[in-house]
Amino acid sequence: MAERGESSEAVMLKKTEEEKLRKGKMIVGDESKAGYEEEGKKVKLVTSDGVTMEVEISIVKEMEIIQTFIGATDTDDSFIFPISNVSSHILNQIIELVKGEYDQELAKKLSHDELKEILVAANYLNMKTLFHFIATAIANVIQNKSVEFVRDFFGIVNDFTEEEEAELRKTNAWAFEGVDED
Amino acid sequence: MADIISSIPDEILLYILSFLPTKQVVATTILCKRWNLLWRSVPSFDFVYSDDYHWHKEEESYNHFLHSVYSFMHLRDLDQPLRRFSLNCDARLYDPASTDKWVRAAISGRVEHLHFKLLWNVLPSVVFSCKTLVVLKLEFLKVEDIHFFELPLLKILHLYHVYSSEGIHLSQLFAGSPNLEDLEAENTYICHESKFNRLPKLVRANIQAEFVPMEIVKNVEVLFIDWRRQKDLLFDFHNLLQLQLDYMSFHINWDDVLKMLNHCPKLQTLAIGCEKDYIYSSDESHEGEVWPCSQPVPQCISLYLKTCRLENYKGTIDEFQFARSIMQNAKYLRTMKICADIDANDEEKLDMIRDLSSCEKTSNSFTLSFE
Repeated sequence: MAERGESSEAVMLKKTEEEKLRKGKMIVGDESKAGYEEEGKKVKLVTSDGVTMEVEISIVKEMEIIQTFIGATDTDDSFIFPISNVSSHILNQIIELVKGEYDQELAKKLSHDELKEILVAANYLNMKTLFHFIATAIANVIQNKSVEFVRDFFGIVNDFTEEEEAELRKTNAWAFEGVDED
Repeated sequence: MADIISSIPDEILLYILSFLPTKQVVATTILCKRWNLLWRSVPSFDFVYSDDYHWHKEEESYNHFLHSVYSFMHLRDLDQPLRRFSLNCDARLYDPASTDKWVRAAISGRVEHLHFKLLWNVLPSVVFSCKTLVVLKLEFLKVEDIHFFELPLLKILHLYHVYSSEGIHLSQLFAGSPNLEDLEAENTYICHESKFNRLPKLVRANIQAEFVPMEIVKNVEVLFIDWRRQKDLLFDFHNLLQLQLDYMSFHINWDDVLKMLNHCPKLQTLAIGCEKDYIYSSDESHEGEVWPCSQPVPQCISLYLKTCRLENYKGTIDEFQFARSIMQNAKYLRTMKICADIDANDEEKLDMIRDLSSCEKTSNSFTLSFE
């Protein structure tokens, strides 16, 4: 997932444009009944806490890990996919973010734990747009924050001795100048 | 939760770190032993330098900045790619040779995303033959002597206050970037040319500059344009789904809006806004052409329009009639958003809401929002 040939920003752009086109087709009432049926189709996913959730196909299509299964098997409505690494709470959050067309305002409402869990889930489900979105959201949260804040955010325990830390600060002195340690 | 994060592979942490300023990235060296050397592999270069705070010892602080960048470039892992490169140098002191060196390092690091803001200093022209580039954003800088563009992978190009003594040759630029999907040009010196290349993949454009021929953007799906540029249109925007018209103050000529809408047969989203810098506030009320005059309702309104936003709404009679006509004719309207003018007081706002809510509505499932 880390090797991303295409620039993620460009992927985002493409995604929004496709989204708009898709919706464009939907609005013209009668002509697109077939489109509506495809839209209404749902896929059953079982989360780590054992909840079975019906998720719209348009959202499931972003989960490449499930697309691989769908591509490999001839599926019908009764097919159920287990997603053992994602809780129902996080899956609901993911659905909200996709439906909200990845609005950074939505990300601001998420707790630090939710951000991290969505990151892990996006990586597991191989949702490229969501992964980029949540990685930049996390970057926004920790941007220009103190070392302590970042440690706290990632749950990092400082395992350097005071002497080691002082030495590192000296080696890269420029990176620690004028930074508020709050 | 700590367990979850400690199980996250380094490559994901590197991806997150690549969106942070390099100074902060290097500071992660003291987080803990696992992170100690991680920063050296972060595939980005992101430096900001401003001499605002150092006016009394400009040279010293600029040299210090150069030292920081060189020390980072020296210690980073050269085997790692350098995907993002951002240099914001808001300073009169500027060393073109150093910038050139850093850009070349980025190019050999297969850079995909370049962003420069240089306070009118000169951009190294080597940028324009960077074959791995996908996103290029240039702000407040000068370009000189470019005779050659080779940007085969470029998808996003934003030019914001780019100065060039002879003007940028769009024909050459477009010939060298056939995969462009997103073009923004604002207050940028464009050379006046009669011939230009088509951009077959362009889907989004924001044009607020002289001499950009509108034919270039005729196939886009999303368009932001400034008010003055839509006169004498001789063709339709067949693919256009989203349009934002920005006007430079004074009063909107609704006839012009109608003319434009008649050239956008499939428009779904319309926003009419105002350049913030040019907001013109006046007490004189404008009772100009009352809309709808004799003109029929444009096809896009009755068949496609889903979202409409009117900014700086003052509640003049022509504005109101335009809004009313949208609500009466747009069968598929989902959202009508009215943003009141900043000078409107509470009483005026209440009047606006009362008038707008009393309008007859064709679509039975839309929301009228007012702020």
